[in-house]
Amino acid sequence: MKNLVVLLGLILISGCKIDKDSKVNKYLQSEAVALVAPTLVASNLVIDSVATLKASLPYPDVEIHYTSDGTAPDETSPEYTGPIKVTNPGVYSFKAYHPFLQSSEISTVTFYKSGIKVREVSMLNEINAKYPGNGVNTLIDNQKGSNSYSDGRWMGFDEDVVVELEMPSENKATKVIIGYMSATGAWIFSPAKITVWVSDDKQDYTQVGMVEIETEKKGDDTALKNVEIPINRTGKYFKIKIENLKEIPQWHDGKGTSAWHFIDEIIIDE
Amino acid sequence: MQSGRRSFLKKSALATGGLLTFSQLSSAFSIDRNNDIIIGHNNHRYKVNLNWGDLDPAKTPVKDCHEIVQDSQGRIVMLTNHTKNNVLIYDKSGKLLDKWGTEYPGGHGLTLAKENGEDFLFITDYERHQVIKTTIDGKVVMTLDCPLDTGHYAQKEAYKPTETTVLDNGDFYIADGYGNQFILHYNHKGELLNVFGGRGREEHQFINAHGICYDNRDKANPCLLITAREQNVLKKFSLEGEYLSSIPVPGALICRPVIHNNEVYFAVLKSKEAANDDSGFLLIMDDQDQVVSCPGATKPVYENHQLDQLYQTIRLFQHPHDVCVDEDDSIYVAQWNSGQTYPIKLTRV
Repeated sequence: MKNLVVLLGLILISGCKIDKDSKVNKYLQSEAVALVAPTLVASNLVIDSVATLKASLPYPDVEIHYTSDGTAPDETSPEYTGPIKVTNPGVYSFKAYHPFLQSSEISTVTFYKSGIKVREVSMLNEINAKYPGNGVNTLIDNQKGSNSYSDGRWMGFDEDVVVELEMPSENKATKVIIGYMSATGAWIFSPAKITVWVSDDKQDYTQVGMVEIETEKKGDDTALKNVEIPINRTGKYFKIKIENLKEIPQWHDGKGTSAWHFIDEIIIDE
Repeated sequence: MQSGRRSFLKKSALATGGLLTFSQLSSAFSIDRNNDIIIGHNNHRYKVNLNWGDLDPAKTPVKDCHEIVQDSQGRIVMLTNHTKNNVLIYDKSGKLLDKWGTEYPGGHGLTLAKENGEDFLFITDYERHQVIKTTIDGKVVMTLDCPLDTGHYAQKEAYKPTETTVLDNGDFYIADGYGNQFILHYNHKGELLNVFGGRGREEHQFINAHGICYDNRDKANPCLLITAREQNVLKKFSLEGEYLSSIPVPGALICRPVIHNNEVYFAVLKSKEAANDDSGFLLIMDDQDQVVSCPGATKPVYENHQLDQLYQTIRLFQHPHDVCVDEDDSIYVAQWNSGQTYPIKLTRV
């Protein structure tokens, strides 16, 4: 009888230990650690013929699985084995798996169909000398920017921007897509408001769309974003006003001052 | 097919030894047979103890854990910006031995100085705009204000010192890494001898001169190592403030250089181009200025003498801010903005 009590005691003690999972093992166990989402590099995100997409996570024994239809990948999705040729617009999603570690979050990249070819683009305000990109054509060159705002594919501004686009002919446009960066650590905020006007004669403009973008909250990750403004109008001239955030919120070091905004591409979609 | 290989690997890890298991796992080199995760590369690989130094946050809270040093008694001394207890003193097992300090709201840089066998600490406080020298138990012996008379500062608020380093003769240097980016050279009495650096993208200037360290590994040519954190570069200067050279570490926001034996260790606050902000890791550089291990990140690879971009591969570290390496080569990691967690200890394998 006495022996039995002792045995029970031992089992209880060891039971406790297993409950406090992290305390049993002095060292961190592999299954408690997750992989980082795969890094994606695309040759171009606006497809005029073909784009090349590479995914990587240089960690031993990692497998990357992906989808190209916007759904979440799992282990039954095709395995990534090398660069992918992308010919159709859409959302590609990648997730990394490991025999012992937790799988990663999903990283995604969106490919866009190239829009109506713009005949001429001009900017009514001055190009900012610090972040001029490659001049105003940066906005219509079918090149999306990287996470690095100084890669030459971004134009940065600390004031409102007005862009005028002339189409080769009167085109029916369904929407305007504008790419921007959100990186509050670098004092780069989303534009506050974007307005689109259309004109047939470059004189009388009609407002056809407007969107206000929510300001970042504390702790938001750096992200490359797009805003789509539905328009559904025919027109030869488009005027787009992109307004910067005039007061950085209280949680940020730059509180009260006006914010920078960065734009990489404007697409007028058929 | 693939899930078959995965379950095979899992099984072989559960098996006790065996040649096949061993070779299978040694190719992975990230896991050992106990399933303890192993991080790092080449000869610098570590097991991770996340629970080291955990305390009751109601009694001994931390905010950001900014920096760690080891004192002459072998104790681990950690500086946090929590003014209930700015300095926590642990033994190497993680047991709290002492705590002090309530007046360092911007407590950031922590450096040990030894004078005639006695330990002193240099604390930089970017909110007080001061550098404070204390005894090891917290008695203030010297306070240095913003050097307004240099003409480099319009008002004291522009001065936000982040780090100090001390020479054998008692001279010390202050890096103004959150302020106007100057490096200030003082003698042991606190008299200003020299000012160099400053904000800018020239070779001799800095963006975010966050950390500084006296490097006397080459006894004939001692120098200063200074991090330009935002620029992902380590810069070498002479003790007179003359720019010598730059060592780029692409993608790595290196906080401060810490010399242990012949190598330099860094906490990397974050990966430059990661999607998640909490993308930090550690970095170890040998005496030839080559990166040899990046615990928590990609393996360092050189192509044509250029280091490939480094970035986090596993979600382990959040924002590492400083490292301290003890005589067993164990690393203690202090983290900024990590949800008020206590330091992490790494044991070399």
